[in-house]
Amino acid sequence: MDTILIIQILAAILIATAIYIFIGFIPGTDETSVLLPVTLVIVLAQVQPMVVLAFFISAIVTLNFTNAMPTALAGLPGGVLSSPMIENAIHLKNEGMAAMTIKKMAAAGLVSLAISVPLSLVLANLLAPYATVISPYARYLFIGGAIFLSLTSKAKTLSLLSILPLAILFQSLRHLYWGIGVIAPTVNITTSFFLAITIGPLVHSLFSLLNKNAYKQMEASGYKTIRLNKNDERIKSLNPFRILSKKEMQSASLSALITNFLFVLSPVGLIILIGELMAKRSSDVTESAQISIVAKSAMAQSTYMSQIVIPLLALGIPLSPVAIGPGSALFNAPPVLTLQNNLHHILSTSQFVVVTLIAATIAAVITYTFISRFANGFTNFILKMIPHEAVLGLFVAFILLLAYMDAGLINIFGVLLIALISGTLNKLGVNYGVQFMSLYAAPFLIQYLL
Amino acid sequence: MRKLLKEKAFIEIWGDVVESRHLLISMVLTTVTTFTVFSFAPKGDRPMGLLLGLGGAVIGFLLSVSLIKPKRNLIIEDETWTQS
Repeated sequence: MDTILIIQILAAILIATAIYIFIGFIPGTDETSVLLPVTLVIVLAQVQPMVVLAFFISAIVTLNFTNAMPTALAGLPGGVLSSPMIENAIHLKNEGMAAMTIKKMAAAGLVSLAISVPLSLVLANLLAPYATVISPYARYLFIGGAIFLSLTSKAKTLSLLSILPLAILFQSLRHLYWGIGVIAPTVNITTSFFLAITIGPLVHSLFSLLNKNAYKQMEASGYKTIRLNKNDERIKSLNPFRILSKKEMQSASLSALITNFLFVLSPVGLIILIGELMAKRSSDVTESAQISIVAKSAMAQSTYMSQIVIPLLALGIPLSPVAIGPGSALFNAPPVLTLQNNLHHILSTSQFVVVTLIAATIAAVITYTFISRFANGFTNFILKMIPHEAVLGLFVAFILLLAYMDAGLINIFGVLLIALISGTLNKLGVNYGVQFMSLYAAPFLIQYLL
Repeated sequence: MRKLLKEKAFIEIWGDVVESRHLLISMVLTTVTTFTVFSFAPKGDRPMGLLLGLGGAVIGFLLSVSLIKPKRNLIIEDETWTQS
């Protein structure tokens, strides 16, 4: 490594950390929408692969730390992974424990990274020799994942029943676009479909506004009242072992450990599933909420880390929800990166390991320190400055842009169609995990219906 | 529809409160800036298109931030919790 490259890597880490500290604090900023476009720009601009990797790793670490802040302090989800934490967060906030919750969530994230970064690197190295054996079975993992997540969700039958119709929806749009020639037959649209699922509930809500009865249910009497506690910052210890109780430490470590092995399953699905299991470790409502939110916060880090590191280092094919979604630009961003020539093929194992370790460590240290000192002040600033309207407007513009870039004007309405259907299913209880898995499994599922 | 455009129609969406008129303004504004800046990219140059599009989206976001006030009442409490 020459000096210029090292400086570039460090600069990428610092820039990513600064950008995503800011974005993470803004409530409702969906991970995929804020990670994917920026990463895509960097890859397509032909930035050095090691610099790209450093940027992405520090971005996900920072984002997963800071997304917890609006969640714990204001009861507003920082991102998609924070939505399963809201219930716990609001309970703890009402108990006057928001300050402690932030500390615990950040500490759990740190513990989780200390486990997941080395573990995912080791797992990737163990898995690498079997890459050629596993790759052909990727389809079964996705199909199995969709079924597994359906069976573990609250709406089991409904989720199972929605897998095939969803697969048909995705494939019918792809075949339509191929048929009328708006995209080449070799192109498989995933990015804008993925974002369509993500934005589904929002689109569903926006359309409901046009229905009189639904509108009445969404009407608010006035401004939202949010209470922040001035003294929330006064807990000084930075040592995770002092911040977390023994039970919390075990739950965070165990959750991080398990999720590394389950890297093909949806992060939100895993967080809901294992988070609820961990919550049962205590019968006391408050303690149970703490254990649950600590485990969920740990899993936000461990799922993202393992789901990007293992497929990228071991296989070079996007065989996990994070790899197919927010991290897809690292695998496939033609003409710069393709499935035959991406970061997996370009970087050596030692380059990969060194960059991942450095990026995760620096980003974690900076963000953890930032949170411990400024969590309250910065949340206050963001809530005062950034209107929710601007965030929603940004998402709508993002999705329209990516839809248009993927397959032109027609895809704007294609994305709207997906968003309406998945948003409706989502409201009925079919979670993101099942829907994402159905998207990945769609091409294979259709073959079984012939 | 008419009701949505009248003043002070507050709605709760994605866990936070917005005013429907302002939401409409922000969505239209950000989309317009995004596609306006995007249109300057040479045809077929995907990276440049994406970069310019994102730039346009950020401009729209900043304009919305400066034009629209958050619909939140922030109450800063001054209680001391004893650390358990």
